[in-house]
Amino acid sequence: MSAGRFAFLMNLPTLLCLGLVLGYPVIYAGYLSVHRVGLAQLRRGEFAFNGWENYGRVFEDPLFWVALKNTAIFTVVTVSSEIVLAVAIALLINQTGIWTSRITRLLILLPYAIPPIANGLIWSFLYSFQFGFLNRILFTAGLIDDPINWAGNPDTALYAVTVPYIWRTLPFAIILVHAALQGIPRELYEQAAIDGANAWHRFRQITLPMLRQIIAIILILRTAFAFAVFEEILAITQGGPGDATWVAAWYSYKITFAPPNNFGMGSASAYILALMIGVMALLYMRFVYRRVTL
Amino acid sequence: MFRPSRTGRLMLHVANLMVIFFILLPLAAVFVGSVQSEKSLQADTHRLLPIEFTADNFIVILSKGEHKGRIFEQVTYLPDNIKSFSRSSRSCSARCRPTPSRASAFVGPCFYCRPTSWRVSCR
Repeated sequence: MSAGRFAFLMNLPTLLCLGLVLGYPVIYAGYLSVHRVGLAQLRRGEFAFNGWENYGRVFEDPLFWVALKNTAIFTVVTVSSEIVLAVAIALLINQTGIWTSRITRLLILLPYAIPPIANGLIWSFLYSFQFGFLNRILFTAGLIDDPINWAGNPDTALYAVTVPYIWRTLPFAIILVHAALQGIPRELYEQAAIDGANAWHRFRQITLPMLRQIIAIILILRTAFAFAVFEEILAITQGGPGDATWVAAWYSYKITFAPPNNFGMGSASAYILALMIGVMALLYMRFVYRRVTL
Repeated sequence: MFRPSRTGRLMLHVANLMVIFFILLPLAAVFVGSVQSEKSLQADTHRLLPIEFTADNFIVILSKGEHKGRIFEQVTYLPDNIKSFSRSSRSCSARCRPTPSRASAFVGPCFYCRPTSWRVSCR
């Protein structure tokens, strides 16, 4: 048996599992997206083919564009904040001589262990208008006189949802940046110090260029995940107030599972979302990742 | 490698404390919320720490609802018959015949046993 055939044979169980677990739902969603599937059709068990009609209806829906705009804002805010914070905190926990850095390093993975839905519930408790602890802290610090409705105000709701998401996903980025920092040779810093470079110069000329690759990876991964945010929205705002926090994944969910349960349109919107994430990942790979790895 | 100055070290400590505060804030809030009653939580919305600490919330979960502390008698948003919560629960458990359809916990009046008992779990 040739090496190629043997390798194929060894990979076959994994391919079959992936095909069943991932492939089947994806293909079935594709099938649903080009059929008329509502509660009545589900009851009858007959799905009429309607071509691209579901896709057309999604694009004509103003709520879809609102959701897309909110998703874009959410993604830009969370990804940019995460990258800046991840680099800053990774540099902080890299300070071996500072005892508080050791405590931070110990605690940093804690949020990553919290399930997304539990994280959403924790933060909705924290944001609560009536008895939330964020308002209590601000009251105690004398910063506010009246409680702020963080998640209930259309102007602040979307940004209020970004904080729990950043809180939960930041450790992943920090760990990646910290690992990359460990890989930078110390000699570079020592030579730079001999040449008279200060801390800022060392960061600009050595640290940042050496982190470009990992930052590009974080950018790709976090953008894809932030674009599909769902759990925090479900637990904290459920898309509200009004449509202030409707994001793309929430749109797909509501179209599918809220009456009148349009499974076809929901699948079409999910496909559009997946396509967007795919295109974005490809663009990142083409213009960001390749450039920094060359 | 590079020893920061005294001011630099102080700033690093402050930055670390800010990060630690950010990490622990939601968890601390949930913990403080878990060791007080609903009444205490809503009594003074400006207070950071509870008026009285209680482990009743943990006890009711860990005992699968068998042991309900007195904090559940303080709850104001449930009907008055919550005062007979423990008694109702006992009688309900005793009277109910477990069937697969009744296996799930009720979140409403238990029509199988006593219409007045509220949030009774028939197991």
